[in-house]
Amino acid sequence: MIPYAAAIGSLMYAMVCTRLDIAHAVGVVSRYMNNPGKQHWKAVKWIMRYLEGSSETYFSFIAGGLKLEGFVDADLAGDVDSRKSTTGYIYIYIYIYIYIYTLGGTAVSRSSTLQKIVALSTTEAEYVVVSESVKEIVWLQSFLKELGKMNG
Amino acid sequence: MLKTWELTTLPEGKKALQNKYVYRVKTEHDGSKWFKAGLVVKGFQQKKGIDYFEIFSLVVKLTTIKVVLGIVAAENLHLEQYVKTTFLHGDLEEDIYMQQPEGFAIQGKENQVCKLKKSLYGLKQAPRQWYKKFDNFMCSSGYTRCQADHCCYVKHFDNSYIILLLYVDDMLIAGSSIEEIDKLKQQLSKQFEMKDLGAAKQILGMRIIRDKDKGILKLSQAEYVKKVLSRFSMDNAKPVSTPLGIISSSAKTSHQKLS
Repeated sequence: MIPYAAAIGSLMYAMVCTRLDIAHAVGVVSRYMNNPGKQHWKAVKWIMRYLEGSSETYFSFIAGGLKLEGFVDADLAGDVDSRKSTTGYIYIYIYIYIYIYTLGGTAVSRSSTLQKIVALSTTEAEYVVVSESVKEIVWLQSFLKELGKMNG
Repeated sequence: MLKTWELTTLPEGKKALQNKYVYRVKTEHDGSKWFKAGLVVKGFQQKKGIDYFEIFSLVVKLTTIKVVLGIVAAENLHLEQYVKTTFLHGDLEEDIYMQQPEGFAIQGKENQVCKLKKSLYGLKQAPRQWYKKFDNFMCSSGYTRCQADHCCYVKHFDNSYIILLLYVDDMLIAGSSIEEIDKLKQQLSKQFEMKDLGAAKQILGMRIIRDKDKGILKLSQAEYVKKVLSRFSMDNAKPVSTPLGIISSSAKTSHQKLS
């Protein structure tokens, strides 16, 4: 027996915590959990090889003024088997030094999932992403307000 | 004695739960090891509606941790870690009986059982009882529980504030004033048995690496990743530079079974 599910579970924990860079890849291989094929196991091992080459990657926060910004995107029919599209959004803390210049950012919340419906156009796929990501920002805003970090 | 239980005879119609000892080797962030032994109740023998009514275990959202760590780094706040040493503090609402622990049965009273007064590890309701007690304490100390995440508490002072994150029995305390943090720690240790771990070094298996002079806070899972790779014998594989390599053609048309 090849420990397909166990391997994905181990990768998923790293993905959720600090390794956002493998989010899409883990999302793709986990679609084949109930009947994995040879090429899927190869893809899992590929992710591990990627991790091996980048095991010293950190998730880092730095001092500075904070601003929360969000980015969204979608593909159309990214999953070749079901023709479903992929949702992707990310909220990052942007560090502001002198008003205009921003220097990098740190992701505080992000998601990359297969959409539940089959979108018929790129526009429809984008609408689905916007709706999903706004749900998250509403929560984030209410939380920051409670911490006294939001004006108005 | 912690007054966790008292000896009685088992009332008719009641069942006494079994227990066992659990031994674990814990690894600290610096690699040192310590041995832990504890008595747990076999909570799976508990029946709903008889031995417990409600169960609930609250954990802080990962996004919450990241939002707070971002603020900690941005404003260069103090970040301290506090751990509760025992789970015994929750009060019990139900009558629960347990057999006497092996090797510690009191002579002449071997037939009696322990009637639990406080919740023990393993009991289904232990996490909920602990959270209830902790929540009561925090609210009565002037902290506000965040509506967005019930494991996050805030209190504002004249020119500083404290944010506390609770992860079952592990807590992170962030604040700009070390005096206020110390005050909170004193209050906490008066109420509960606590262990002060000082500046936070580890949360949920992630290492916290801080450079206060440069204003950097890093989370690292390098050790975890290494462990996973060696578990799947991939620690000497050839590295690649992209996370997703091969799946491109339709999986259904070219499905080769895994042996």
